[in-house]
Amino acid sequence: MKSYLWRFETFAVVAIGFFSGLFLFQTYQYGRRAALFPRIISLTVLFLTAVFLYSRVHRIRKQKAPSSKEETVRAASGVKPATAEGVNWLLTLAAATGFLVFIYFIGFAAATFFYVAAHLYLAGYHRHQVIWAFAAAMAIAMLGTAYLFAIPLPQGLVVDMILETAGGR
Amino acid sequence: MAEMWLQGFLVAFQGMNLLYLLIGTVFGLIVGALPGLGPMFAVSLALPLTYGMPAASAIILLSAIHASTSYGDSFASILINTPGGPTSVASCWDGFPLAQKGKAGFAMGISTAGALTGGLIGWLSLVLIAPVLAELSMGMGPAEYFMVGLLALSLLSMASEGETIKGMILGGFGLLLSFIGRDPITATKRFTWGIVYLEDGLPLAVVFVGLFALSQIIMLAEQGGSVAELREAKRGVLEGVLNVLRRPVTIIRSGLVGIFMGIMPALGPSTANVIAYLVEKRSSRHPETFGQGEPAGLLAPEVAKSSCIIGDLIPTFTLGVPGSGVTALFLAALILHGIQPGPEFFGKGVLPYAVFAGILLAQLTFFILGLGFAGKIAKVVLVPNTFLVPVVVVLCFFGAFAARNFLTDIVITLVFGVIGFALYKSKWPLPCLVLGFVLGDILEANFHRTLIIGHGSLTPFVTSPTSLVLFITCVVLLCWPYIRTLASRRSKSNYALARVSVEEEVER
Repeated sequence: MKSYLWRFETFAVVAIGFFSGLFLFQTYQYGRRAALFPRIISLTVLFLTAVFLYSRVHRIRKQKAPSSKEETVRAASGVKPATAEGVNWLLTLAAATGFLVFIYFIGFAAATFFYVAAHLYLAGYHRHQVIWAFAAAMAIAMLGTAYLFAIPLPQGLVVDMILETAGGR
Repeated sequence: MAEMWLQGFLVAFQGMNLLYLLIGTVFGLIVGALPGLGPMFAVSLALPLTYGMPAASAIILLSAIHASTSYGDSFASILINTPGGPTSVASCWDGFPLAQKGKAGFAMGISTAGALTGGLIGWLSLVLIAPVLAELSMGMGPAEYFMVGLLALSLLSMASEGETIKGMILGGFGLLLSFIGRDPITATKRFTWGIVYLEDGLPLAVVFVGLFALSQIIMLAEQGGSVAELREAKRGVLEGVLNVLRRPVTIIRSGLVGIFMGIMPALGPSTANVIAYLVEKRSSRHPETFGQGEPAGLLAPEVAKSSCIIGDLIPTFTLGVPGSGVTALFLAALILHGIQPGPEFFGKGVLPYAVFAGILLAQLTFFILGLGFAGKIAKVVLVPNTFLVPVVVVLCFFGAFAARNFLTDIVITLVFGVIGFALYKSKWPLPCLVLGFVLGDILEANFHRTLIIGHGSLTPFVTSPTSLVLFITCVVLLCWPYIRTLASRRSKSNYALARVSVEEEVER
């Protein structure tokens, strides 16, 4: 876990460093006034990321790498995996991304219906009637709220195409 | 004067106005509880409905919506760690740990009473010292505003919770994100990479829904089960209210932070709640308890948020200068009803007194409704995460879309959800990112204004006494953790030396 976190931290810092480098590069396309403040901040962030990475490398050099025996003991200590009861974060994220794609194609209300049902299945809930009733209630609630607050929810590409075709005829 | 007040209260207590208060409060609570939808959305939605109303009724309705939306924003923060809007980000940090400990009712009680006390402090300052405060804020120039922004940014050292470099990197990252869009002085398009959507900058509410709401929901999905078991919800609410009464110093301190942030243009409740939390943590004797369900950590942002909301109205009413987007809508409502805000506003007969009475009643209405329903709302923590997660994801996407009707806003929510989740998982101090993102615009705009005033010279930053004092305070605040560490090391070494000499004496 620690090595994962270290790897993530390094990745995050490198990503932020890259981002600020990109900002710094972009500032040379702007006038003096527009570029000044972002340039100061991106240079500071670049400096800080360099300091952070140096301190990490320095710390790792100082530390002794754990032996394979230690790793085995740690694994056997029985740390409960986070996914024991719930849904793996990657699945949740994939479902949310799928929801977004569905919104684009079939509209918010229909996408809500399918997303809610899919998520409940992914979470290991298998009472079908409850799942479909809950998903339908959620979709209707969203439509009702949108109507109440006059929010034009996206209808989706498919519905738009159908309406366009029907209108054309 | 007393007669005017009496007449003002009589107007506010008219049947129709009481009905508007009730409708506004219920509407505000519902909108507030939805992630991403805040006072700006609710007030702008209600503004057209006020065209046909008398001026006092219109302001009373809008005040009720404004106050209750901000209060309702905290529901989701406390119960499911997803802020209802940018104004209640800091309420998550100690509110949710309390809910996880089974004290959701207690936390809701603190939030309800904190919002009321903050509202009362804000109302008193609006009524008693509004002109003085407004004059004070008008006396401040860009150099002073820049220093105030810098002072708030200096709280990064406290927000980083011992991870100073990580905190500073995230603060800088937040500042860089705030630069996306048009430059505040020259309106040059910056860092948009040809994407039209980015020309207006990244929307605060959408980014915060992603960073705090969506990321938390991914965590809850991983955990399974439910947020917590709830113990004695109803009694807990009353305990929370009583706990607030035992913390007068926190109330006054956070109330002052809120008013200060409120009367200054561009600094609003989204800044006030974070700053009040950090100030409270810095002032606490046990800062290590913050983030683990410390009642003062929830009370401070709640009080500051509510007092800031009314503090925001001070320059609007007294000078006709709106302090934020929401108060700009209030200004529009006043003008729509033929009322010119400014120093003459107070000479318009009963109307200002009716408006002030209405604002006070709005605070009391959400308090009464909140007390009545807080225990029931707190039971949300019992809902299994299996059901809670898809509901909140749908609400997050709905809220992100509803504010501006852009599908891209949902994409941004998802992107920042992933960033927030990754940062949470590896325990990076996310408040630093918030501070940088919120303060970026204020810092940059006022930095350039000062340079323009000084014809390119930096001297205006130190020639103004207020600015100089603020600058010195910044330096002291930034250096304080190091000074304290040095001092404690020295006292420890002195103690060790003294102990050795005593032991030597004993041995002899």
